[in-house]
Amino acid sequence: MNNNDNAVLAGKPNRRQAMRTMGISALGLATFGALSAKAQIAISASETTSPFPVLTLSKTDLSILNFALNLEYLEANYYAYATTGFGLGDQGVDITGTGTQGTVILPQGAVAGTPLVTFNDPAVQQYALEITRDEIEHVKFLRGIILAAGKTPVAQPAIDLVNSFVGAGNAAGVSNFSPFASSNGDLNFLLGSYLFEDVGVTAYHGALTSFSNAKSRGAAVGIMGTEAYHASIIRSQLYDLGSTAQAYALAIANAINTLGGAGIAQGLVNTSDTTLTSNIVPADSNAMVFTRTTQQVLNIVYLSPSGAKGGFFPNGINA
Amino acid sequence: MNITDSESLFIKKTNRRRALKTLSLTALAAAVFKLTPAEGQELINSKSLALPAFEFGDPSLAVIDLALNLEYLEANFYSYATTGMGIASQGVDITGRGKQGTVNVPSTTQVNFTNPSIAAYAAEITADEIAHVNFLRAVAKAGGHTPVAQPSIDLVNSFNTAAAAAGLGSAFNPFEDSAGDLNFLLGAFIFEDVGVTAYHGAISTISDKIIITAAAGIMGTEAYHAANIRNEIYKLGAAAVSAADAISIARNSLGGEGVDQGLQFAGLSNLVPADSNAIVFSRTAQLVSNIVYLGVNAKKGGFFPEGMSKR
Repeated sequence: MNNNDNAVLAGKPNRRQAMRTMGISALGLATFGALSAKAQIAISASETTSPFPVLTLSKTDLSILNFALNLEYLEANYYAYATTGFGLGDQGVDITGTGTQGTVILPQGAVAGTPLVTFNDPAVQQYALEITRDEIEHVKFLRGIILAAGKTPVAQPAIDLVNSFVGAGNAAGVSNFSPFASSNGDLNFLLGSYLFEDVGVTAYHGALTSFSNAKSRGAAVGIMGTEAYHASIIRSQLYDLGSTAQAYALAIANAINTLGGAGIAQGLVNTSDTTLTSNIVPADSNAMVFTRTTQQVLNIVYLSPSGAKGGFFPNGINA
Repeated sequence: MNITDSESLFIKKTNRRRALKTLSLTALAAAVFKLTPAEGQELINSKSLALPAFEFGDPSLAVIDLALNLEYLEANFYSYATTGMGIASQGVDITGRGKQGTVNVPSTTQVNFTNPSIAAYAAEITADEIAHVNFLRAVAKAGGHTPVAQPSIDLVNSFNTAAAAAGLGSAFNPFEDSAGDLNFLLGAFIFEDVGVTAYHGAISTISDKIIITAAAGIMGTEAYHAANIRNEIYKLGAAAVSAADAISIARNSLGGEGVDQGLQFAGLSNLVPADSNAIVFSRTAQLVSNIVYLGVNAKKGGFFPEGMSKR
C-alpha cells in the first residue's frame, strides 16, 4: 500500500478537499485493484478551508441548518466508520456545540482505524470513500456557515449504529441486520446507506420553503443536489445486484413508509408501469423527488411512528 | 386552497410512478395543486392563480421557459434513443409560444442496449423527462401563460460539433450502438449535469416558494439521472472515463470554468461534481445557453439551431 496517499487525495482549491486522515492506495484507472482493507491515520496538516459565506441567519434558518447538521453527523459517521474505522471526531472535525455531545455506538470488536466494512467491489469502496468525503464536508460546511453568521452549531449527539440497524432490519423482516457485516458482499453496506440517502434528499427538499433567507436556502439546495447524486449511486448499485437486493430494498422502503409518510420511500423496481423496470429515482408522477417534513424525518431516524427519541439518535437530536 | 409551508403541493401520494403517455391537463393540475379535476379545470380556465400570478418578464416565467426548452431537448434525446421516435409522436403536446420546430436525428436512433440495466435506466429517464415537459407546460398554463413550443432541435450536427470541441474526433453519434452503450451514455452525459446546474442556478433567481419547491424537485431528479449516467460510464473503464473527461473540459470552456468535473480525480471516483463543500454547482442561464448553443454568447446553434423558444 502506498503510504504517501495524502498527497493523492489533496485537492485543488476548486476541487473537493482531501480527506486528510485517510491513507488509501490510489487505484489504477485501467482496472480496479482491490484497496487495502486497512486505512492508516495520518497526522493532519492544517487544512486550507474555503472561506464560508457570511449569511444572515434568522432563528428559523438556524434551526433548519442545525437540524440538517444532526443528520449530516449521522451520515458522516456512518460512512467514515465504514470506510476508515474512524469517526468524525477522530478525523479532526469539530463536533462540539450546543446541546449534549455524544459518542457513536459501534459494533462489538470494532478497532479504531480498521474500516468496519470489508468491501467486495473496489468500485463500491471508491464510491463509499467519495461519499464519506462529501458528508464530512457537509458537516464542516454547515458548521462553517453557522459560525460565520455568529451563531453556534449543535454538537454531535449520541449516535447508535448498531441497535438502530437491528431495529430497522427487524421492521423490514431481516433479523440482526448490520450494514457492516460483509458476509454477502457489499449488499449490507449498500442497504444501510440506502436507508439514509433518500431521506436526506427529502429532508432538504422539504425544508426549502421554510427558510427566511434566500442564501441560506441556496446552501440547502446545493447540499440536496449532492445527496441526490449519492442516493442514485447507492440505489443503482443495489438494483444491479439483482432480485434479492431489490426485494430487501423494497422491504426497507415499506418499513420507512410506516414512519415517514406513506408512499414517499420507493423500491428500486417499478411495479406499476409494465414498460419500465428500474425505479432509480423515487419520485411522484411529475417525476419530481418528494419532500418530507421535519417530523417525518425524525420519525424515520428515531425509528418511531410517534417521534419518540431512539433509533439512530438514542438521546434525540440536538437543537 | 390553504397552502402551508410544510406541505408540498407536489406530493402525489401514489406508491409508484406511472408512465405518462397522454395526459389530461386537468388531471395534471389536480396532481399539481391537490385539486379535484373539476377544480383543476376551473383553475386553468379562470387563469387566476392560487399559484404565482407571474407576469411577463417575471423571473419565474423565464425559469419555466428555459427549463422547458431544456426538457424538450433531453426528452427527445432519450425518447429517440429508447423508442426510435420523438416525444411528439408519443403524444406529448409540443405546441405553444414561439416557433415550433422538428428534431433532426440520424436515420436510425433506437439504441440496442448491451447492458439491460442501462436499457432500464434509459427507459426510466425517458419517462421522467417527458413528465418534466408535461409538468412545466402545466405550470405555465396554470400561471395563465401559454407554454413555449418545442423549438428546432438538432441531435446530429450538434453532437459532431460537441465531439470536435472535446477533441474526440469530428463525428459522434450517440445512437450508434455497435460498440456497446458508451455512445449513448456519453450523449446523455452531455446533458445531465448541465440540467442540475441549470436548475440550481435558476432557484436562486426566484422567490416564489411553490416554484422553488418544484424546481428543486426536478433538480433532484436530474441529479439522480446524472449520477446514474456518470456511474455507468465510470464502470466502463479508463477509455470511457477519458472521453467523459474530455467532454467535461469542453463544457468548462463554454459554461464556466471549474463548474464541470470529470469522473475521476486523484485516482478515485468523482461521481458527484461538487465544490470543496461538497455542494453541486450552479450555472446562470447565459452559461447554460453557451453550452447548449455550443458557443460562448451565441444566440443559437448547437442543439438549438434556431435558438431556444422565447415568448
